[in-house]
Amino acid sequence: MITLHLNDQIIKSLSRPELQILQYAYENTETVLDMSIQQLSSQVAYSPATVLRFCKKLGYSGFAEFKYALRAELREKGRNVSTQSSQTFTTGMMIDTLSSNIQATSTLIREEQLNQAFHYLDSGCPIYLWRPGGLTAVVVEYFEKLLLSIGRQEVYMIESEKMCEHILRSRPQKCLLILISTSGKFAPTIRLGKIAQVNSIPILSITPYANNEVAALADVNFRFFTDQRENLGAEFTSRLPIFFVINTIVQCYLRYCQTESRIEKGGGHDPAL
Amino acid sequence: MIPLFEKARALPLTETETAILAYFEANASSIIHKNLQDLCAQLYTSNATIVRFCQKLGLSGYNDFKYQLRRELRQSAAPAFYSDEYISREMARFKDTIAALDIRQLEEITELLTSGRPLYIYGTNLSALPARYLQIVLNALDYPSILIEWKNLLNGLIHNMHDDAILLLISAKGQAGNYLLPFQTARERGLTTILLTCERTSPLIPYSTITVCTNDASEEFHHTDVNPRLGFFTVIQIIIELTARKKRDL
Repeated sequence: MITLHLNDQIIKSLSRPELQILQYAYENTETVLDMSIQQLSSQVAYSPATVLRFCKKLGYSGFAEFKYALRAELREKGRNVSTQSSQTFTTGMMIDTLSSNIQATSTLIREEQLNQAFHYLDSGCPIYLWRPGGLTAVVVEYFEKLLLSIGRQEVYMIESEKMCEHILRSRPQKCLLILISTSGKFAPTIRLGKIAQVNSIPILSITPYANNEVAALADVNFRFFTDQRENLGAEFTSRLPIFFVINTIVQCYLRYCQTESRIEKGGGHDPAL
Repeated sequence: MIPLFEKARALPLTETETAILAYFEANASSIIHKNLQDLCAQLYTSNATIVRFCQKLGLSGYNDFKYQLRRELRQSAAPAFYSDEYISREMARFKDTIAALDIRQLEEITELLTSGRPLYIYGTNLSALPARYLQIVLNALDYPSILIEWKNLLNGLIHNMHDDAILLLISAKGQAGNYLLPFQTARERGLTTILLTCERTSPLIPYSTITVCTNDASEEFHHTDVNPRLGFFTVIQIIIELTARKKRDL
């Protein structure tokens, strides 16, 4: 059995399921090293999202890095662990982290949240998307373009914070505000969320898995896993999980609408869907 | 038939409840996606009436009813929409994308993108988004590039690009004919071209230096392209990770 060097604070912060995962990893280190996050999660009977949260609590970027730390610890103990060339190992590790972030994100999407989103999309109310700068702008625009492409009318992307504020304050009828934040901490986004809340405008948000202010303001909140990164102030956190969430919302809505209209028309089952 | 409705029909129902039942039967597949408030508005009745109806069926309330109905609909293979099925299919597609990737090829592309040679990234319509995503991240990692979103600009630029320029073109499906001419010109001029597409038989492939083909399915809705291009974003994300690693190792 091996042990990782974790400080008391981290150990104290672990919940009971997380402690059980840790214990399992200590007792079955060599098996865990060959497992994917899905395999481990089915062994310990907790969701991949819980396993990933556990890895992050321990201070690792994801499951791959957790395994890397276990492997390093085993090696330290002088055991014979299969070694690969560092180049291919890190590439594998990188792809593993990427996949486990997506996998875990997909398990966070709940039917109930989708239904709430469908409710706003169905209602035909105006939808305002707040588009901050940088990389998140690309994600917001992806949402906007997909919504328009599937025939949803009244989708407006607002690029100016002041304009957005103006609309939220003066909007007499029902509408929906969509906020996407990669950190959940971006001040202008939080501010707009608060203005919307004061004016009782519902908010749909997409934010990181951890508790954050933007999520707390939202009526419907979709969450994702990603690792925050930057290069001397220029941030390049992966948006892939957010693209995945947006695509899921839009494609599910499209299929939901198609099922509805087919039943209304009394048509048969379309195998393509 | 749905056992839940059969059971309801056998119960002594009030007039309103009979109407509720008729509505449920007619709209079974959409009920499972509706909340109680919307339903009341449509039925012109109060929450309490619907909850009482559900309780008459021996269920704790409306949510319990929805859950039970969903299970029975699924068993009867009724045409309804189940998001978990879609999500697991989408996950499987994502894993296929990952499994089909040629990492060595992506490493080769990363070498080209970070070589310091003039770099042009092209994408238009929905493909402009993956193009812009890559361009912004490359900028953040100190590898500048030029983003082209207009077809005419590409047609003009291709004649004037530097001889050692690299052109990365992102095009899903069906638009390839538009780029035949610029790609032919690029080939004649000896420029390096990288093609990211999901069309296996794209006429551009013979002219491109490196081709990456993903398994994105082309989808249309009322003649509008709604292919979500997740495969493109995945490939680009991996190129980004490789670039970030290279930057770190420097």
